[in-house]
Amino acid sequence: MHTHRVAACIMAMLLLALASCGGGGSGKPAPAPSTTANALAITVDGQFNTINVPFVSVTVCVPGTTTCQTIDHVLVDTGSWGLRLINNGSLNVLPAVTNSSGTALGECTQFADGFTWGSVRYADIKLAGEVALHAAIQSIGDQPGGASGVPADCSGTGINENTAALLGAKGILGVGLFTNDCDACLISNSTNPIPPVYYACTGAACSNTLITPSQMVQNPVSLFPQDNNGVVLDLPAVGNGGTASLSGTLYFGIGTQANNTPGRVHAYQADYYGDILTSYKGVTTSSFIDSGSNGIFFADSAITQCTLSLGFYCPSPSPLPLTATNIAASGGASGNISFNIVSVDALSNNVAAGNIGGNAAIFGWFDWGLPLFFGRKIYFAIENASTALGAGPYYAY
Amino acid sequence: MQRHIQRTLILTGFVLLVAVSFSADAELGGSINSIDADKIHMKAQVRSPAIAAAAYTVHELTLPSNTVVRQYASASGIVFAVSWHGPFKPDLRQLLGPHFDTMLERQSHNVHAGHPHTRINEQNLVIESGGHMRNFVGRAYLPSQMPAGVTAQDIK
Repeated sequence: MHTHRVAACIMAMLLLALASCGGGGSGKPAPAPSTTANALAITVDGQFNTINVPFVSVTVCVPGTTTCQTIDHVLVDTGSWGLRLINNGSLNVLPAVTNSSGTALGECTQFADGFTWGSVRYADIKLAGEVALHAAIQSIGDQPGGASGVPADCSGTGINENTAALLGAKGILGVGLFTNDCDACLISNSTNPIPPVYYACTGAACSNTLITPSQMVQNPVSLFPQDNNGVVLDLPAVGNGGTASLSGTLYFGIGTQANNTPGRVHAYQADYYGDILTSYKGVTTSSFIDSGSNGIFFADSAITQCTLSLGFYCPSPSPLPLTATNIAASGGASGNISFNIVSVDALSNNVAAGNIGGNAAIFGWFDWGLPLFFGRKIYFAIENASTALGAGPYYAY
Repeated sequence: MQRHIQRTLILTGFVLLVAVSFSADAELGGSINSIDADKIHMKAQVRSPAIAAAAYTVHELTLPSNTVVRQYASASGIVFAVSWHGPFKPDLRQLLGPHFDTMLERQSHNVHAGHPHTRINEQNLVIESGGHMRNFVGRAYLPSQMPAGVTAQDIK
């Protein structure tokens, strides 16, 4: 089912009109057009023995200087927000973020399978021609304030992903639907107790603390002076045999330049958690679109599970053609998706990108990982940011 | 949108929801400490005896982080399953007890980029952890300790 209202809005937007469409952006100004270089190359090359991991290179500089370094093979992740880089020592040149007492800050970031811990540091982040000045980033694996340990309420959440080999990347560029990685951590929100995310650290100990917006690791896209309302990922289609290398592009901004203006797409508004809904074989469940997931993960006991690649599907015959329906969180827009699942065990070892899937980690949630992006431009609008398809947060394709 | 933790539970008796920190005794495989019973929100769910009677209690705790944790205890008071759902993961070292180190050991063999979940599926231990920033969910159970008639679907 397609809403005609959205189709009409696409036509208006192609003329770069100021019409505001979709779920709720009316009253906000249209995003300013931009001529800044906003395209960053994505490579899916299987580095670190991965499959379906999209990598970009990120440049960080000591704020206000030309003392810069470029880090390759950083995972571009629409399921998180904020820039996090493994510190093998080279990031020590970036100044530590301190609180008003001059105490260095550390951050614990939880992921479903572990956590990252390290200093918070300031950098000018440079992505293509876009710059986020004096932005807080997470410097993974070092010792904030000289503290040698990881706080217990951090280390108790899983494995410490503090090396590139373990992380499977040299960092994570989170460019998802939200600006702040912890709204509840802001002093202005004054929650009690303090979330286990930011800590004031000395050589003796770290204690959780609230912070200010400038101390927080934010979605770098939100900090750009232009092209700051979201991102677009553009990856080519992948054949059923998979491919050893795939190249695509990460565009900054939605509808601010010719290269990031949506064509005939549908926007699915997400909820506070970044989730929408997916209906599959008669069951509707929470779902999300995540370039940081390396497959389409969903529950279907009728699909044969792999014996070698545990957790993945190995249907026979392969590929297995499937259909699902995505629905906006509020129950508005909905549309069908057709996708193929190929047998993982049948792929050759050098495949870096493939149309693979597996059983959902938990509770039957539908995790639309990287295979959804193959041959499909997907738009991620940041919460409250204005776009011609309405205000974020939404996924559109 | 309906969050997953909102579902109908069969309640018997008076219930009082209190935000508490963990009892160290209430780890997976350990026993529910009866001293803490009065601090814990108790819900008793008795399964229909159509096939086999399965009796267990579900202890629900809301952590300071607003994450909801459930501990499933058998009739003999052994915690055979736990689950969690919320903006932050609970202290899994405390919740999973000795099984936490097993989880770390298994996780150390994996490359993590692209794997936004942990799935350990062994004869004596199942741990599933998923979700994303703002919305984490997971469960762990000991298949050998599950009361008759209870399946993984009941752990949520």
